[in-house]
Amino acid sequence: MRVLLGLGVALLVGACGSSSTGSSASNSFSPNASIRGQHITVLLPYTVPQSILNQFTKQTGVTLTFETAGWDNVKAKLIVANTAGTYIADVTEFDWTFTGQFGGAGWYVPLEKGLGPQLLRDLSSVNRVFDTNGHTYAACYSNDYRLSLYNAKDFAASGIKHFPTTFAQLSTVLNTLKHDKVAPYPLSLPLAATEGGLTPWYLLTLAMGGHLFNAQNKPVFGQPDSTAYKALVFEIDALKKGWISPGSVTLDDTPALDNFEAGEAAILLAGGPGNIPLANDPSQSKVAPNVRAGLFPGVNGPGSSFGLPEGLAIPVTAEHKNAALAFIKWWLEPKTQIQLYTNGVTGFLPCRLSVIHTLVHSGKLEGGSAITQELDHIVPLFPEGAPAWYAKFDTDAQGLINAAVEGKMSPSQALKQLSSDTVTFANSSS
Amino acid sequence: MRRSRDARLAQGDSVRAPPATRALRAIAIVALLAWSLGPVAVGVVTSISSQTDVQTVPARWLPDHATLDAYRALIAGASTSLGSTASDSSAFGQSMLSSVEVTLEATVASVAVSLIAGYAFSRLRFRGSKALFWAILATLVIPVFTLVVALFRTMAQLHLINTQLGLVLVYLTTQAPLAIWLFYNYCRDLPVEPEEAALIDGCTRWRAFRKVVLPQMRSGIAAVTAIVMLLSYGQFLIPLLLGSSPSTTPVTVLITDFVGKYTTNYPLLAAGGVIALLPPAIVAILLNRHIRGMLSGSVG
Amino acid sequence: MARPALKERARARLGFGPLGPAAGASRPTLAREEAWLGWWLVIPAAALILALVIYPMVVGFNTSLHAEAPTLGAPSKFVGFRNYSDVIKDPATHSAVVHTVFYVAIALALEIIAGLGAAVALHRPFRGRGLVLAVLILPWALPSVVSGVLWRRILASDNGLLNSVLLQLHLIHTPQVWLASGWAIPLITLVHVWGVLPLIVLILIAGLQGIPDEVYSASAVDGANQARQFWHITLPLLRPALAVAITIGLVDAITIFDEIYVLNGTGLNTASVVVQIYNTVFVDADFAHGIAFAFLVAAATALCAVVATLASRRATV
Repeated sequence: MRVLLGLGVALLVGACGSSSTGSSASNSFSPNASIRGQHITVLLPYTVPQSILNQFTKQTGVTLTFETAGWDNVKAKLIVANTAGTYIADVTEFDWTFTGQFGGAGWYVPLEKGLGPQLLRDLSSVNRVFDTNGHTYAACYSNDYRLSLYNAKDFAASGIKHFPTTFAQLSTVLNTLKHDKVAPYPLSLPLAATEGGLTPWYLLTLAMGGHLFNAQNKPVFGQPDSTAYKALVFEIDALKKGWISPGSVTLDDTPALDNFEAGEAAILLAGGPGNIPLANDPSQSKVAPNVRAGLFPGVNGPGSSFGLPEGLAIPVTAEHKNAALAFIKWWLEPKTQIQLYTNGVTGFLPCRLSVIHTLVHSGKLEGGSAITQELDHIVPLFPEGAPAWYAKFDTDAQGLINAAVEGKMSPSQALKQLSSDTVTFANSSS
Repeated sequence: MRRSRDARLAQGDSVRAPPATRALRAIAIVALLAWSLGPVAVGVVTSISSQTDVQTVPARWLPDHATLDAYRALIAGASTSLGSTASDSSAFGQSMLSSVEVTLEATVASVAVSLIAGYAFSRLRFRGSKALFWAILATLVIPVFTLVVALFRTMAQLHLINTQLGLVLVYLTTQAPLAIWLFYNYCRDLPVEPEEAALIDGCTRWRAFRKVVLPQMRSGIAAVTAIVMLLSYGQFLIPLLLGSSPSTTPVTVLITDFVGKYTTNYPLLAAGGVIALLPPAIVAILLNRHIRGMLSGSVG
Repeated sequence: MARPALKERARARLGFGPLGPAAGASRPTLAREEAWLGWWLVIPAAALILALVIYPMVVGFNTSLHAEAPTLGAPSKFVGFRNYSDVIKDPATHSAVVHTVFYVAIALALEIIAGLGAAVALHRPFRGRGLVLAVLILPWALPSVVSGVLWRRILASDNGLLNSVLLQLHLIHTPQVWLASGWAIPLITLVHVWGVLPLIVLILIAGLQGIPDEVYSASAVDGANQARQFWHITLPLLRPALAVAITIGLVDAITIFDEIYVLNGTGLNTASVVVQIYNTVFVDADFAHGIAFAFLVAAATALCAVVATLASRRATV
């Protein structure tokens, strides 16, 4: 009876209170405040060896609880906790797709002052994807961007000396490879109605020198002469010309990599730097050790690519913001970054340019110069950060682009539909 | 002389069906067994295969060499990458423990609360009981999504997020309506005479309940306990959203972590599935008569 | 002769005379004791449900009547039922509803046909029946998330067992990506039915066992063969059990989620209404629309359940 009464009272009290429980309201950092002895929780979708995490505690005196969950599950948990305005962790995962949605909702603490201009510069253009409303909401911890992979042996067999740098050269190379039949298909390109199948269209648009959205995040791909249209036509032509297998229309990105590793294609157009060690691992890949990285082709030379990094961020409901910032800074220290890349479990590609150069020079970063050179070509997909309605746009685009590739709609129909849908999304969430 | 089939039927004796029917029934039974056990068998076989066995095309039904590597990796923990999430040495073991703990606690609580409510609704008269009964049953149609954010906030204000107590309370509220319904029906079918006799002898209502009705309900309690145990163990969305620490991540949630887009490590996934299915399988097989009785008894 | 008398006295003591409740001197106390105990026994359940179901539901409903806001506490515009109409007009909703109709239709068809077949095969005693029934419950006892995991190997694209079997039987030439094809929904429904069928079979067995044998023997005398017996006797008498089975199957299929989530994630081509609610709430972070959608689905489910029960019970014996 007393328990029930207590429960009822607690509920009433809780219902009357409006703000969230137990978090400091200020969003600024006090770099000199003592954090020794505090305890923080970190929530990421990857496990990190405890031996590395212990170094943080040793260095700062802050104890750490590290929680993990699958990627989709982490996002669901973050959304629920942040909407309810309650504490979930001091440092959380922050994917590039969260920027508009989470940053724009005011769920996270701006980090630019805490990180400092020098660190931000070193994090390079990849980190710009976490910027919105003039603030930086996350610091990149796992770098990822798109560049091409190719089978050097197949190239040599066809007498091709360099990876093509322009689309004109790419056409020639693909036709040569097809003619010589060194691999069943010259190109492996995922085109399923999924995230992985949509990315090539984003990539091709940027590489061809165009954009999907303007500076106000309004769609520019609906016009028939837009670059996005040309990119979509490229994909449809690739199917028609036999550059890619007919099954590509239901191919997702991981199976596309698997195909490439099985020797079914000579080029993986939309690959990533993290794929290279896997593709050159003889226990997993049939084409090892012939895989090289190539800069994504463009109009007059290598084209633009975009980054899809994951970052560390601090929710406004965090309990110990200074300690959380200390964690992020520790993570970004060169020695930590190198350990996180080389330990065999996490394999996080660093974001800091200086660290990448160190790794390349010491031979630890496979793939050669293309990896670092590609960084010069990275642009954000959304100039103002992925907007809050990005998820809806992404889902809609997956279906429409795939329909165009499968011939169920014409490309211009698909893009017009997508454009008008996007306007609806943008209006309904404002 | 052999009695006719009808004569035997009239006297309530068992009748053996003609051979054709029996053969058909045998085929149906074998098919049912294969259908029920097939996927489980597939899981078991996959869990003792190696990665290369699984990746050969076309697939091999049985592995070349059976191996317990997948189980070792799960239980002892290897730093192998399971797709996008690496397997931590204690994560799987902890989640199994958490599943079992929360299931037991929630089962005891659910059965206790529902037992008395079901009895009360079926045997006792009090004002508003009918309305309250139907109101409680009506909550069965409410999907979890409608509740989840407000529930999260309420739980946070009561400091119940990430606690096993919090999970138990929420399981309780989602499972009680069904359990109450089952107990209600069960009580209605029980003979009233023993209780009436006890009351005449001067027992208070409560005493009559404890000494007479409760023992009568033993088999029903066992059945509902089994059913609630299975429901609690199978909860997925609630613990996903209301807990993120290892002690509040049951195995159902952990398994979905493994099932990412990038998972191709089938032996590991299958091993996890096999270990995860052992508790409910044991409960179902041990208490199957009670479960069957309870479920089919609530038809009328 | 003792028992009837006992009963009379008991009824008298409890305040019931031969014609009904009498204003006996003992009545008010006993009735009050009964009411008092009754309330105390139901308060735990009622209080918990009030606190953790009714209260959040009210808050949720309130949220669904306002425009989407970044947090629960943030001020937001009251928009009445606009979120509800948004959801109804959304093409993603339409496709989710179409998918759900397919899930329900295929599930019910499979459950009734296979359920009846299994129930007929199993309701009469035979050696080993207990063991068979014990094995039969297994798929129902497993968490649907675990079931999905077990079925993944069968349905996997490159070297899944389904592909292997069909390849070896030369029914297909290349491995199919089942979960991205037109077969995705039927296959996921199959996994769902795998988990629900045991319950359906048990219900139908109970129904069959409730039909007295004399009915069959009487019709046999009249010259009915087995098939006619089934159609004209068994099925009509099975109506109440079928009603329960159909209602349960219907509600379970409308709210299908776990199997889809484990086999194909939030993929659009297989999204059911509940998957779409999940997308709206946990991917788009749009609680206002998501909760509106959830209430719509709850209302539709309740309506379907009521209609199904009424329709199947129409001609009860």
